[in-house]
Amino acid sequence: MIPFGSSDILVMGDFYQFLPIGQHKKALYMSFPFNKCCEIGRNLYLQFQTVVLLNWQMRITNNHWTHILHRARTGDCSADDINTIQQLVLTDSECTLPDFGNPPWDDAILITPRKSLQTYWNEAASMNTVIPLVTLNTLSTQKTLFSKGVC
Amino acid sequence: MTAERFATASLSFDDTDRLPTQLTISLQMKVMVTKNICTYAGLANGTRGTIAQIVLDEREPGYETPNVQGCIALTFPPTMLLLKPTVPVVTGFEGIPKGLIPIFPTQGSFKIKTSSCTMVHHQQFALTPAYTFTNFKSQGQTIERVIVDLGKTSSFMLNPFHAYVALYRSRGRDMIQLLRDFDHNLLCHHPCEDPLSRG
Repeated sequence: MIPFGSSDILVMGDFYQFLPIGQHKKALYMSFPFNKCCEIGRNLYLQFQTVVLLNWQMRITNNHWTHILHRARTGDCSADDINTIQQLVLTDSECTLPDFGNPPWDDAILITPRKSLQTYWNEAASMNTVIPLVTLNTLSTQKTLFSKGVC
Repeated sequence: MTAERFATASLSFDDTDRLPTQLTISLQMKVMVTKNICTYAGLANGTRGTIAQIVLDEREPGYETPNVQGCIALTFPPTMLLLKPTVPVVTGFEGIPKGLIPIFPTQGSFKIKTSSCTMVHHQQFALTPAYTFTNFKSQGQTIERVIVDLGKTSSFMLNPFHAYVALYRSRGRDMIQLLRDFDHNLLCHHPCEDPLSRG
């Protein structure tokens, strides 16, 4: 039998980026299948024979910076690399502060793992716009499905 | 109705079909679409843009003076918003200026338990302010000017993926800043050696 109903399948990914959210132990590529179903998945994964490696990041235009980030990807940063990155820290004495009040930096976006910081930052930025409008959701059709204790 | 509204407002974002109870919008505000509203039209989870126009409900009693916080609380959700996507779309919409995409409120359903079990249908724009993203949400996005926070958190550990994904968002070193100090080890260890990265 031909897998995937003989459709052409292209799988794309970067193993240096985040793992699949949720049960990543059940991902197709895991070497030690978690259960019978994962074993089938693993077998399907092994049938992908043509591998194309994209090894140049096109987004970044500066070669020096690209090389530093390439090393960061695999955890191979040198002391020089770390120093170059450290100088970007806004609180660092060697940092050249950009002008956040004017273009293009007034348009900067923050990336943070902290949900709470994200909420505050977004709220502050939204309130800074011309006449913010606050809209509530509309609750519509509501019907009782079950009486108490059943659901 | 008040009990239902209270019960709804107490629920988390995930428990209300991922639509916010309250949303602040304004002209020129940066937003991100949070659901696959219409992928064909370019409105997918993760689409970014600015609000170009707000069409208010015709029952809306006109502009009042803003409240203490400088906001106007709308009585009805706007009928339609026009989004100017960050990445231009090719699809055109009849009667809509070129390059703009109309967005309507999305309907969501969920259950709440008050005195009985009630099914609630609600409508809200599937949007969120987009002045900041989590590392996960930023994956795959190109951001022209970016500030990255790799500082230590008290509740969970950052792993090399957080650092790599965030650092790669901008186009160059002069387009990125770091918000605060970071653990240099994040960039000096292979992700495979990180006990938290590989399960």
